[in-house]
Amino acid sequence: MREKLLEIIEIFKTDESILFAVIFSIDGTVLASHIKGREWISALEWAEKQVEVVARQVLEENLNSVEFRFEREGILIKPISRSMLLVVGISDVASLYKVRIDTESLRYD
Amino acid sequence: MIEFAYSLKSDAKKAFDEIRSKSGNLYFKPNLAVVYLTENLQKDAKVFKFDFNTLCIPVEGFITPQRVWTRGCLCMFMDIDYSLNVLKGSINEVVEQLRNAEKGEFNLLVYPLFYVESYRSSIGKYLKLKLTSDIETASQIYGEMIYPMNTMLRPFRDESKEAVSLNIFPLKLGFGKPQIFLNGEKLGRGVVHISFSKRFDASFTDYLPERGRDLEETKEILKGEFHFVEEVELKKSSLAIGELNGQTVRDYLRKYRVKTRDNLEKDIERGDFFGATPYILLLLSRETCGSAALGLMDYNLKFYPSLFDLNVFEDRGIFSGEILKSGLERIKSEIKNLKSGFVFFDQNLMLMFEEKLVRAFKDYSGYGIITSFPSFSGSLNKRFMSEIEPNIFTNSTLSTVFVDLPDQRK
Repeated sequence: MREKLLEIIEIFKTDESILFAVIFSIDGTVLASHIKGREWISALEWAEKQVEVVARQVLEENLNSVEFRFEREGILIKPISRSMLLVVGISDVASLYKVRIDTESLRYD
Repeated sequence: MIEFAYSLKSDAKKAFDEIRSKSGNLYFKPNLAVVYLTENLQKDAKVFKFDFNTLCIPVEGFITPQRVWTRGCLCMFMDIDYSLNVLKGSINEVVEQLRNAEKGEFNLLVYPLFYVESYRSSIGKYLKLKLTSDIETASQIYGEMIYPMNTMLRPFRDESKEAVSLNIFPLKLGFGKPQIFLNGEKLGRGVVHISFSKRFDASFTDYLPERGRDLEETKEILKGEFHFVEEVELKKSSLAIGELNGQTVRDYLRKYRVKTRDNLEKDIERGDFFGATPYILLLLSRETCGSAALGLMDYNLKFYPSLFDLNVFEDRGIFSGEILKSGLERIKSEIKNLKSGFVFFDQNLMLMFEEKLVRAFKDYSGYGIITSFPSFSGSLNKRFMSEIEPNIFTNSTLSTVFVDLPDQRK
């Protein structure tokens, strides 16, 4: 299982437009993570707080995803299974539609 | 024999190492690899080179069983009887070479639909376009950049040989793009023709109803399918549109408050050119009563370029907004019928439906690519709207080609 999660994170590691990629369990535990640089820690901490708020809604009320758009960056929160969320921080050079497609393909039952 | 391997890595060396390592597990010795590279890998295409013919094609995404990806690469390994030729030159020169080429039972063409090598090489053409008042001159200048989709398939149609064209028009066009590589060398403006002696079952769809028996009927069908705005009179030449209802394309679009683009040359130079638009001109074929769409952008051009040879179309068309009615359901119902094989899927559909597309493919167990509106030549049993010349199926939106691969190991 952990290997599978690391494989998912690995996909984003070599993408320069991805600021961070983290898999959380429904209770907010970090299961696997990648962060591009220390300057994105505060953004990731902010995203973690949002995960606490939206996790249950996303996983139990069947919300497809949650997106936060800032002036330059964006954060996408998406369930990848019944009990796990993938949180991806993207820079302004990322194509959001591509991240939406790839994260949808990462979902598994 | 055909097998696939893919990598989701965005680093070229790591991606190539991964697919090369997977090639070690093949149950046959391949003699041809076609590698479909997504955006992040395209600038390093020369890394992807096996010790047999390796063709690298830039794509917007690719499809694996139940999944759709916009990162990484998909490699198709083949052990197959084929010949591969690279053709270069003007439109007429390349078409003549294609006419003289040996054609197999199935043929694949890969070429850049619109290509300018560099800013330096384009400045002369751009100035000539700005200075000329003659539409024929403009058409000739565009002929130095465009290989028109319908023209390229005529040699195959005329010999009743089946062909699929990957007429590459990336969403992010730029100088020197698209980057098609063969054996580590950049193709530039040219055409790769792969001729297979084996026949593959191929089919085409544009998700539209059949065309009418006459142009009036076709127009009514189109008005029901797209967001109809108005019929327009065209002043055109082979590869250039001069006027829509007496106005340049830009002035016509600005009448409808379309203001999304500015300077074409600057956009291409900065890599800001986005090769998709929701505003389309539906052209009407006088040969078949079919129709193909040409995307319209409000760049400041006296003469607007066409991706088709316009001589087969009427001097009137329909200005519309692009919308596919009951869109995703139509796509799902076509995909449902697919056997495991290979699909060449239009990139505009990816832009329309984004992640919903992944759900449409969740029962599909084959492979495919997301690319610029593939074209097809062959004999099909349906009166497809996009059949704009007899047995030539081409459009700049929606077109999708399926190829059955019976030799693919499941």
